[in-house]
Amino acid sequence: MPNNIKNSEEFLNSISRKKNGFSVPKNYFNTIEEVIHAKLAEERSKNKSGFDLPNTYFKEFEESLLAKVLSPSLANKAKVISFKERILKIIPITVAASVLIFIGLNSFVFDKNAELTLDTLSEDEIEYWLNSSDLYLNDISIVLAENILEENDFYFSTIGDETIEEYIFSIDNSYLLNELN
Amino acid sequence: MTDEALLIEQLKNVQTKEKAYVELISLYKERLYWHIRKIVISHSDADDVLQNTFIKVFKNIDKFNQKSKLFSWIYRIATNESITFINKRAKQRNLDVSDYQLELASTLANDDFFTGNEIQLILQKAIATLPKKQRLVFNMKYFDELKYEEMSEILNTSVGALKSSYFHAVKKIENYIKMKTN
Repeated sequence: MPNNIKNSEEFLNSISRKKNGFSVPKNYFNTIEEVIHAKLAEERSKNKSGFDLPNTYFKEFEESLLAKVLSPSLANKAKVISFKERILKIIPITVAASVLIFIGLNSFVFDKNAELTLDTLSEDEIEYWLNSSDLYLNDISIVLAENILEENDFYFSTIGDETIEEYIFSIDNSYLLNELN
Repeated sequence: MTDEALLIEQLKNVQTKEKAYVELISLYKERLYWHIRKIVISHSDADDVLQNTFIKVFKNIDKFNQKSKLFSWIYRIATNESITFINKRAKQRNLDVSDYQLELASTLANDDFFTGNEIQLILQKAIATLPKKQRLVFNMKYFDELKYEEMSEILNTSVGALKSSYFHAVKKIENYIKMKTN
C-alpha cells in the first residue's frame, strides 16, 4: 500500500505541484489582524453595561422555575381542556355564521320572482319603514306621476250614507272646536 | 517554559491577554486561513470563518485545558467552524452538503481569487467529490503536510483510520484526474 500511494502522490505532484490554485486579495494578510481586532472590540462592546451575572444563572433559573411550576403530580399530567370552555368559545362563531347564512339565503336562494304587494307586508314592517325613511315631495310626485289618480278613486261607492252618518256622530269633535276658538 | 506554554499563560492572564492575542493571530492567521479556504472554497467565506475562529479562540481560551497542543486546539475550532458554515449554507440552499460542495467547485472557474490552471481546477473538482472526512484528511495531509499524529489530535480520529482515509482519497483523485484528462 505505501508504494502504491507513493506512486499516486507522485502523479498528483507532477501535475499540480502541490498548488491548490487559490489566491487572496493583495495585502489581505497584512490587514486581517486589524479586522479581527475591530470585530473583537465590537463583540466585547456588546456587553458594556457593566452588569454581570453568575455563569450558571440561566441554567439554574430554568431548573428552579420548572421545579416551582411543575410539581411532581402535575408534571406528568396532560392538559385538559373543559368541554364547557370549548362550547363557550364556539358560540359567538356559530351565531355569526347563522346570521350570515340567513342573510345569504334571503339574498340569493329565496324566490326573487315572488310579487311583493302591500298585502304581503305586515303593519310592523310598514311602520318600521316609515319611521326609518325620509320621504321627500319629489318621491311622492314621482309615484303620483306614474299612477295618475282619478276622481273615482276617491269615490267610496261601497260605503252607504248611513255608515258615514254613523261615523260622523261617533267621532269626538271637541278638539276641532277648540282649534276654531 | 516553551514558547507555546508562555503564550498560553499570557493569553489566560487578563494583564497580558491582549498582547498575546496579537501574537497568536500573527502566528496562525495564514495557516488557518488556508485550512479554512480549502473547506469553504470562496475567499469571502474563508475570511468570515477565520474571523469567527479567532473570536472563538479569544472567548474560550480560559476553557483550553492544554491536553492537546494550542495549535491543534485552534485548528479544531477552525475545522468545526468551517464545517458548520458549509452545513448552514447547504441548508439555506436546500442542498445536500456534498452537492453544495460540488456546486462550489464548479464556480471556481469564474472566481476572481482562483488563479489555478486547468489541472488545478480539475484537482479541486476531484477533491469536491470526496466524502467530508476524506476531503479534510486529504487537504491536511497533501497540502498542509500535517503529520498523522497532529491530524489525529485535531480530528479526534485514530492514525490508522486517517491513513486509510488518505489512501482512498488519493486513489479516487488520481482516477478522477486520469479520467478527465484522457
